[in-house]
Amino acid sequence: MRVSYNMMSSRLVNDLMTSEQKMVDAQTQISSGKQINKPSDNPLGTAQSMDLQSSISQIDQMSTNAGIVNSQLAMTDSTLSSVSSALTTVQNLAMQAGNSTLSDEGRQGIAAQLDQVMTQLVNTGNTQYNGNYLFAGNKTKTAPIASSGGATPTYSYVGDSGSYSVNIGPGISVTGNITGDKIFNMNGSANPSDPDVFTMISTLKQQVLSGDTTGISNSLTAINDSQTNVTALRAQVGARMDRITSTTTQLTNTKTNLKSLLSNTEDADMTQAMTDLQTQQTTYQAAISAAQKVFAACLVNYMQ
Amino acid sequence: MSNLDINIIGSALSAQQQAMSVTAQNVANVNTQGYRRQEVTFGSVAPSADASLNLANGVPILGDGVTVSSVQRAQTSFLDRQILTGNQQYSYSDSMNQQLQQVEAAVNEPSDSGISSAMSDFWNAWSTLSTTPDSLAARNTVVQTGQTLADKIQSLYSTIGQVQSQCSQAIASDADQVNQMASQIADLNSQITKQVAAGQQPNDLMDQRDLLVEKVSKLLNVQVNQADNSGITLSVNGHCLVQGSISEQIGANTDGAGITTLVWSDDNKPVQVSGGEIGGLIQTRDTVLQGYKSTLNTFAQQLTTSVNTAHALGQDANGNPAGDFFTAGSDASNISVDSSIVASPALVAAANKNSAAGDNSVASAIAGLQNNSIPALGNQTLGAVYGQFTAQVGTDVSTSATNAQQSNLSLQQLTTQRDSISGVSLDEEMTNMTKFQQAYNAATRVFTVIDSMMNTIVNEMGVIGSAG
Repeated sequence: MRVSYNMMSSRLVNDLMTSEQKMVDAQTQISSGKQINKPSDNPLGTAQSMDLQSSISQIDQMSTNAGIVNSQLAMTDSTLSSVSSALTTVQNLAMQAGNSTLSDEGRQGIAAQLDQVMTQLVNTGNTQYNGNYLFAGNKTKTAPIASSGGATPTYSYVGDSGSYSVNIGPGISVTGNITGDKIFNMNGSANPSDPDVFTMISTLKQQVLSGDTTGISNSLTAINDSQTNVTALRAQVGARMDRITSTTTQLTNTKTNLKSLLSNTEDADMTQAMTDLQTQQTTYQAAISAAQKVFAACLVNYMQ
Repeated sequence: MSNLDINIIGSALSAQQQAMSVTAQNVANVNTQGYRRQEVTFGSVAPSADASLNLANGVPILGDGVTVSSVQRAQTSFLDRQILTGNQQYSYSDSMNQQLQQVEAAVNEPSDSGISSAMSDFWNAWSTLSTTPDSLAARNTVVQTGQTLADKIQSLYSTIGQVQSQCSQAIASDADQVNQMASQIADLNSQITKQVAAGQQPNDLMDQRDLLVEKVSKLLNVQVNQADNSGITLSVNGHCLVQGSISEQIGANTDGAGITTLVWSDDNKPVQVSGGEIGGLIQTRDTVLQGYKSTLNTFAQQLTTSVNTAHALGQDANGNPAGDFFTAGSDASNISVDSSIVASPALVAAANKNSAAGDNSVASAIAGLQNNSIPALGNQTLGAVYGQFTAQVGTDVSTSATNAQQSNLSLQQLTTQRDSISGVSLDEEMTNMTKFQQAYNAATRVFTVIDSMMNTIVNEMGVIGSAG
């Protein structure tokens, strides 16, 4: 083959360009740490990586949601625990009052304590969390336990039965609230045969004052029912929190897997990239030194 | 020995000088684009047909010396034709690749600042709102992420539009170049025809013409035919561009939308371009980019419709029935969060209609849209559709790059082959130079010898008699 000057120079330029391009590619991979830096690097991989990233972002959000619901449930549990101890106080007071040898002063003392517990329970029912009423269903801006006022107030539930259900995983939602009517058996929503807790306590107070031991004994049964109800609700809340914990653990595992998939898809193989760079550098330098020799070897240089 | 011998020497000196000047021309043009090496062919001059003139002192003369019978360009017609096709293919893919790379850069994936991550942020904002359905802060985040998403979609769409207008501008300016080159080729055609008719060999004009044809072939699909009178005919898909000394003009019409189309000035018919840079630009603008636009439009429309449908079931933070979240009827060119919601984020609905403020059904439902298959999108999620769009852009860029690379490789191969035939080799020229120089020197030496022989005859013979 006849070799012309242009041939040598254009081939040299092409070879150097190709080599430079490969060096730039390897260098981009090394400096960005990614093997996919633009969609054309790997179109399918790009789509996969986008999909993985949005799944990871969704999981992060679900974990945040789980945290929010979990703290609300923790708050609910501790509030229910104080309802439970208030009911225990009522139980103890009722048992004390069931003793017929009690003096009038003693009865009035018990009645006064019952009033205190009543106030405490109403306040507990109207507990606020992050500026919202915890037990009002979806009517989070309305105090759910409303008093009729007057000397012997009656109480009613003015919240709704709305649930606060939050997604904590793909297709998994958990309810973050308990409605006040269930806690206090308003309108018989927990035990239809019993009166609500507030009515029950004010009846008990009257029975204590009048020394109606039979009535007190009946009320005690109803109070025990309420206690059982609250315990059941706490178990429910505990179960929900367990579910959140297990879902979160599962999500964390999934996220770890997705992250390693993402890394496999996107991340550069550093060893490979470094080797490529090294190889290309060697090729490039070899091409240049070969060119120096070839271009120097022209007849012109040897003619006098 | 006679004057004839001196004439032979004269012819040799003149021929070697001519050959030397061809060598000089070759060396001078070693780096000239489009220059083809010229070759000298020597021919011996046959003795005259008149036999009486061919006797010198009764001895027959064998020849009348040497002449330069031709100075030809090193011919590569077959390769030339293949190179034209290669140029068309390379420029077609390369121009497509150049334009699409701009779109690819605008797509900016995979990254944490592309549409995909803006979409995740948007769904996450709704999910956060579902955990705090009465929160104004969460509503602000929903509005802000919604607007960011909308802006990114709009910006990508407008970048595609800009690349389309760039294509149109490039098409118009390319057409301008084609027109200029076509008229230059027509000009060269008429000069070459004249010179050839006058018995000359206008090699340099032919080089210029070939170079121009090659440049035209980079811009559009052109067919070349050699005419008998050394002129060439260029045609584009059957329509004549250059014939002899006449060139047709291509007109670039730009419509109101900024779309440039090419028509022949003579009959106002569209120019059927299928190759070269113009072909690549037209294909990119009208098929590839238009396809991207329509995919983005469908995506934006479905995003708008599905969010709005879910949102319309709700009531805002003030307890009033909710309106549209994204401006109704938007596509990718104008998608945005409804202006009244931007002005007052309280209008974002989290709760179902006729429910209390703590309800989060609507916020949950909208956050859940990211996992919904949408029938109008072939039962795929919005995220999957956008992922496919990105993959499509990536595939188009890498395919056009691969095509360009491949045609460039075969083009290089062809060019190397052609350079091997028609390129100047300095070694060869130096060798030729020495050859011609030696021949010249030898001829002068012969002349010296003849001169000395003449001297012997004229000045030294018969000296005895003359001196007396």
